[in-house]
Amino acid sequence: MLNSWLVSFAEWLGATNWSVGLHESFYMFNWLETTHVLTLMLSLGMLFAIDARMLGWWLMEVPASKLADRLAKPMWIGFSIMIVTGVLLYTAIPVRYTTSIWFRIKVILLFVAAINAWTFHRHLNQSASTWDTDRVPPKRTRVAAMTSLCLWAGIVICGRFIAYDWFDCGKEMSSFMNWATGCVAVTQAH
Amino acid sequence: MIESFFVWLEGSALGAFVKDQAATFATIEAVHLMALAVLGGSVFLSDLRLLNLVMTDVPSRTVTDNAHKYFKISLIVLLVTGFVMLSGVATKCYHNFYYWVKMAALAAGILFAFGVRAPLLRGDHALLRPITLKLVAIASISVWFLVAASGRWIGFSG
Amino acid sequence: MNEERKLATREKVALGASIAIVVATVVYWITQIAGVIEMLKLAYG
Repeated sequence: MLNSWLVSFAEWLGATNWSVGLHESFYMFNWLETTHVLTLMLSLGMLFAIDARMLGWWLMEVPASKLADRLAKPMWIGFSIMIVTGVLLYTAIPVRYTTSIWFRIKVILLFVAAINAWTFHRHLNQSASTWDTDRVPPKRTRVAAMTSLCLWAGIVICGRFIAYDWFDCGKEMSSFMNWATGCVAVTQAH
Repeated sequence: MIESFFVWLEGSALGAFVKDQAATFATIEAVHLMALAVLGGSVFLSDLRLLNLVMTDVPSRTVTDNAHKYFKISLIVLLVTGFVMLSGVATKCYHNFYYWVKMAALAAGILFAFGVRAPLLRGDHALLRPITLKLVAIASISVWFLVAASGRWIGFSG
Repeated sequence: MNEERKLATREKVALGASIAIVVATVVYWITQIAGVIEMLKLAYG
């Protein structure tokens, strides 16, 4: 089952010198986490700028496709840092994240956000010339942008909730939750 | 006297509400983070433009004027959610060095943004020396970064 | 003409305030990093 594979992988990773070193470090984990959170000012900041334009909220003087194109580079620099710090954070306490319902939902939302962004980007390339400077962008554009904002809001909320122990393994949970969190596959005691 | 305000705040109805359920504080903090993303977006958009690093073919006045709108909205959300969160952990913050660093940086940031930067940028940017615009941009990014960084560090200290 | 004078004053104030903020920021981070180095020396020798 997927849970047992994921948890075995996490338990293996969590036992490596790298992982132990990182999570027992004086500052490294805190710096990684701080960088991850602060970098959202750049990555999500630029994303908001683009989505808000696609919703017709601001910068209407600039053609939509031009704005998206110009802000793509700083946005991707931000996302690269998010991905690198995110992966490194995962390697520090892999079992905790793997069996965290909030982390799991966050990853699913990240995938959905990526698909949403990719399909919208294709649509943008094909149709932008028809609505680039319109006062109000077309409905499909606005829906994609609002979906993006909602998905990322969910990602931020889930990211924040990971730190809480409400659904930690070992707590009184329904068998559905034990499966959903992956706790059902945990072999070691915490 | 300041300490008694913090003690009072934590003991108030607002403090009690925030402390009642862990999910309350967590949700308000998540909103705080989302507003931080919007603030970051408006600060970076505006300041990277002044540094001639993004959107150089769009007039800088257009970028800074637009960015200021969401800067103000996000700042208000940050201040409100920040104050609500504070009520739940007021006495802990009062005794935390990084909380005061954040407050000092925040005061500096607000005074700078509204008292210095915005009035300056309402004028014709072409009449200003490039070095001025670049220094203003660097100062702006520095101060808001410090607010965010010290804010995060509150959680790791004390 | 008066608008230009106002702008020139604002520019001077902006330069002064910006430099002050940047200097304060640099000093802050230097002291923080020095503190971290000291802490790491204590912790790891």
